[in-house]
Amino acid sequence: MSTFLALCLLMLLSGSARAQTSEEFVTLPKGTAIDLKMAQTLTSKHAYVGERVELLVAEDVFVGAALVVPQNTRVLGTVRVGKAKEGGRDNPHKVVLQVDYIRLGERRIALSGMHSDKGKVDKGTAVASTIFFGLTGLLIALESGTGVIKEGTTVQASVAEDVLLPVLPSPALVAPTEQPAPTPPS
Amino acid sequence: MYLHKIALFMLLLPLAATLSAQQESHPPTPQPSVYLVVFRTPAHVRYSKPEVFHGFATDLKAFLQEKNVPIKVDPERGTIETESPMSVGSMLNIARQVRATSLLFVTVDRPFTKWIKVTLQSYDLDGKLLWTEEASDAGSLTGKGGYKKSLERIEKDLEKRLGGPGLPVANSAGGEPKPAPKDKEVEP
Repeated sequence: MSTFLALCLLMLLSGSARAQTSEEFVTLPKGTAIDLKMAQTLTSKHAYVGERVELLVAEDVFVGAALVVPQNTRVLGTVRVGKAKEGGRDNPHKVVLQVDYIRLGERRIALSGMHSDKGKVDKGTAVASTIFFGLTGLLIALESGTGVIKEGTTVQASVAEDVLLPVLPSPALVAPTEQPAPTPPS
Repeated sequence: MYLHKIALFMLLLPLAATLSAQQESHPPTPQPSVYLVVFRTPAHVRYSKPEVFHGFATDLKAFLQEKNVPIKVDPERGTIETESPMSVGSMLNIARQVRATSLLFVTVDRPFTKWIKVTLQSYDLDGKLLWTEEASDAGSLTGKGGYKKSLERIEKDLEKRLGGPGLPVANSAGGEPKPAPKDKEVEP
């Protein structure tokens, strides 16, 4: 009988160990380039200092083979140069956006700029190709009349500091959720 | 006999623990809730004031809360009230991340011939337009009167949609939202 009880105890211990969540963590190193996408249009006609701006992670982010930040994760930025206040009559002809962080569940992954000459962009390049946040984390759009950074514009920033993140299930195992959606009314 | 009971308990315990862990790894399906985005058109920026725009957003939220419509609050930005254009796809992405089940997109406009025009569009998370409601006023003598009439009209229209697709209603006790009554379902 005692052998039987010992066997039961062993099964109990192994079962409990199995039941515990075995979350694996990896470090996303400082300086890792992250491709982002504007999730809204920003223009100097409307953008005001302090306004929050929506961006998205454009591509899955991996550390080795481990997925740590999935595509379409939310990224928040802030307008640093624009109208002095919401609804103001001033037109600064320029909009400057600072990227702040990736919002991954309850975590915030701080972002900063990249060393690049393309920190300053005009409307044409902002629409046509990838642009970069400058070293200060600022993205500047200039135009003779209005500064515009269009929705869908791809931009690149980098991770500001080492951050320990849980490994997420492989994208192949995750069912796609993104569906093409209609555009808002004009 | 007593030892047998202990043995049976010990055998069942790991099984229960494993089942419990499996349940934790699959988060429960979110309860029906609405994510609200309010957009101010360039015409409203040109011909009206930000106070009118934010006032409408506040009044609409107060109405929905009074009717127990569960509104998801974004921990980053609360309810988005913006002049910057954003696609429905981007708004739906935020709605998914805050675990809402539908998007209520509100446009506040100020056409040249009207004091105010508000358009409410409800989308499911697949981007399907569930319904649209619109209210405006041109006949009032003052902007304040026009605002009041438009708000009353849109509230009247929304009353009919309460509990239906895109506008769930939670029980007053704060429990689960009521299922949509069949007679209130409206074709998009």
